[in-house]
Amino acid sequence: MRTCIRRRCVRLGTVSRLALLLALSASPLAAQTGGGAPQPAALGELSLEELASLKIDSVYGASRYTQKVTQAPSSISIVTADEIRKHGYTSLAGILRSVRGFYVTYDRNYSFIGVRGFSRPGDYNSRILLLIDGHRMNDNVFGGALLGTEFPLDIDLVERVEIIRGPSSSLYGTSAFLAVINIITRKADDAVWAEAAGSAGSFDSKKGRVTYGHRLPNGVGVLGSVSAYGSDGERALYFKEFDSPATNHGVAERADSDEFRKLFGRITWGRLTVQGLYGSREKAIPTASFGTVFNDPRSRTIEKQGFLDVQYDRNLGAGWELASRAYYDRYGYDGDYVYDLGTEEAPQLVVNKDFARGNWWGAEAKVSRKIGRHRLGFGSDLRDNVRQDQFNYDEEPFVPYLDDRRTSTIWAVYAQDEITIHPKLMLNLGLRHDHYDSFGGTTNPRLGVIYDPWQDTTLKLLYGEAFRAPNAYELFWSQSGVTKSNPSLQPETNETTEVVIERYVGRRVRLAATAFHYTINDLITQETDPADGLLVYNNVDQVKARGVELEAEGRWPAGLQTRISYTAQDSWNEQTGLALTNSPGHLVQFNVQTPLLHDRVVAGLEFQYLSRRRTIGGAFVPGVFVPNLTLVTQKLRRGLELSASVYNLGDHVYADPGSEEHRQDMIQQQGRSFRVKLTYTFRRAK
Amino acid sequence: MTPPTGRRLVTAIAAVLIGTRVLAASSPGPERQAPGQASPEYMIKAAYLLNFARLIEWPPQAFAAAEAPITVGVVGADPFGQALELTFQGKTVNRRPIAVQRLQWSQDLRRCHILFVSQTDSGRLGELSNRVAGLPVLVVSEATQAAARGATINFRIEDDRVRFDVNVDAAKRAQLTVSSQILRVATIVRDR
Repeated sequence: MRTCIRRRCVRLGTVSRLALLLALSASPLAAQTGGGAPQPAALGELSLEELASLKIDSVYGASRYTQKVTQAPSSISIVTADEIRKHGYTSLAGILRSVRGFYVTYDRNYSFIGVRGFSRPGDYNSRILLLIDGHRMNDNVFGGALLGTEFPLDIDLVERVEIIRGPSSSLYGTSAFLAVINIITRKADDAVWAEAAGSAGSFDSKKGRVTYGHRLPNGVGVLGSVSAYGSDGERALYFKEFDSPATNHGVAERADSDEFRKLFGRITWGRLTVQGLYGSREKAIPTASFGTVFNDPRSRTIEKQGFLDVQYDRNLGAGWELASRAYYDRYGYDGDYVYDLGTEEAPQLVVNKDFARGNWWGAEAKVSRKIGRHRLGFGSDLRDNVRQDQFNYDEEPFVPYLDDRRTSTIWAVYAQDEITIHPKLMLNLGLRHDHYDSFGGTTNPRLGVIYDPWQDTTLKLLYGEAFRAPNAYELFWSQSGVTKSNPSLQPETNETTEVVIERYVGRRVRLAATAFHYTINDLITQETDPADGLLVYNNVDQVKARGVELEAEGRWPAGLQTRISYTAQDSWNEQTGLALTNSPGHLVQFNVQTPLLHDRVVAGLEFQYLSRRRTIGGAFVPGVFVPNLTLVTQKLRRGLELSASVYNLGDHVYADPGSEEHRQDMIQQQGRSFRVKLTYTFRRAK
Repeated sequence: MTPPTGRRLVTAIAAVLIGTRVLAASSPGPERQAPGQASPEYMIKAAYLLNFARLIEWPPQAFAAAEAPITVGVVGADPFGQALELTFQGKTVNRRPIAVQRLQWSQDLRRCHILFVSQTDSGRLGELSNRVAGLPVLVVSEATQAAARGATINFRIEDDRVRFDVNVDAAKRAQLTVSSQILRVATIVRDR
């Protein structure tokens, strides 16, 4: 353990020097010689229309109102629809892979996000908060967020993705533990807008989408979209752990299929917005997870998620503004797991049905106004979980194992104040109290000092506390003789300190450096109770992590855009002194979009590098280097766009760490794959 | 927190802070900043102000002489840095140069043609419109709904872009003729 700590010291030393270098290179001296010469005078030559089209970065999810990225009390990344198109991203997981410090683990069923060195195998993304237009997407049974093909919104309907690092429980409560991801959906600006897209790719995958938007002269706007996708997946997947004659020599055949259907609709009428969403995905499990029979294509999961959400904003007079929301959500999970209860000579295959149903409704209200130097906001959230049910039984012969039905209520109040002490100095304060039926109350603060030493430089000092409430699965799942419930679980807590420096060099280049440190206490971990030998979830572990992220981003008028980042991080379990599993020490992420052939084609090239990650078995998956390339036509024909993508360009053989439920310590990932996509957009202006 | 962890964090933060200190030492300060040392938002707003100077007509009595400058005043807090000077440098409107003045609230504000009030000082917008009432002064602000509270032009951020409202009633009271080019891009508001 001692040597381990010593090695961390050395590594961070290197990292500190790098941070220093970046800060130095961001100095005005470097800026003057560093090219990309900013020309404010040239801006003066632009027409009003051109000025009105220039973008400045803003974010909603960091404070629950729209503000400039540089004034938000967090380190933020934004991915736009344009980047999604030019990089051929097919899922939210694919988008997040490109974001500074984020990485994704795929177990051939679900995609798990890793952020700031934390990606616990099997945690179902319950430590990040996922929002669609501010609507919470984490379900009420596992607290999980669906990010791969299981994410219920078609990725083509995403206008932008806001990635807000660090804890935000002071604003959102549970799940806003390590990061918040807010998806802004597309708006239809034109009077009539219709789009059809079809794509085909490797593994006989096909996808189709039709979207229609209409804006009436009285201001009523309507948008509707339907999508369907199907893929056979890899025809044969080899897993050496199952390489024996009894299990088809380790080859899982036709056990990787993936299908989804997605619906989205929105009506806007003045200050009223009604949105609805539904997605269902069915995925075959080729890994024989949870000790199921290998190479039986019946083992699969189905996720269904949908909501209806009504938002209403109005001006209350005297400068007060109201933002309110009411919603109803449903979540369903159906798992079929095939077990062999017989012997090797006389197999007896049984389908185990594992499923969960979650229904909940909620209401949110927030009032805000500016008073002098203060921007004040007060809000309350209420969530009524009318159903948080878990079931498990064997189908034939019928053997029930679990029938657990729960309800619960969560209410919360919060306040925030953004104080402009001086034009260059802002203070951001937030405090939220959440109340749960199970463990009672928890109060979480956030404090941000945002200082602009110069016009183009922002320094943020941030401190935040967060919690993750124990989910229904951890509290109540039990199976006699194997696991038991623990209704007295307490929330996990996180304390994070961050320093963020952002600097614009002219209009074209942005530099950012972040240093963070966090401590997670009472981490919920499954362990064996020595008294009865049963598995149970307890608040046991303490985890600490720290790291440094450096990023440079440039945008040039011809359409050339590039971003490169480096992350060094270190996370460890304080009890054992061991580095966390599935936590890369170093990440390098790069992407560039450039016009080619007289602007007729745009190329989007990206790569992610992850250093080696420790597995649960104590081994290491080697470093990962995955480049992806997409070519998109522009001006092909009016409204028509063709794109072609190659993922894992070098056909690099790599693996992600497996979870407790896998016999595989490492799960091999996709080799090179292809996709072509054709989109036709019809527009009729006002 | 165990001491080694704390020390490591301190090392990391110190490195970043030292970086900024070095940065501070090498920076010539806001008064003598290198070209472009302004945030993109205020570079855009400065360019808008130049366009307003070109496309708005002041009554003849607003100027002492034919080639007297158009004066742009920033009242109270100044978020522009050098963006105004850099944008207006060498620019003339009908042979008038554009001058920039930074003003305290206690100073005489009536000699400016354009007065800019930042978000920070938006609470005093009502006071300002009283002080320049009836005079040919274009009041530009960036507060929420300021165009309904006395400003003639109000910047707002919409869809990540800088847009603006024009209160045509306020423009008329100030005897300013606003070009149709401005009105085409602006959102038009009226007195309540």
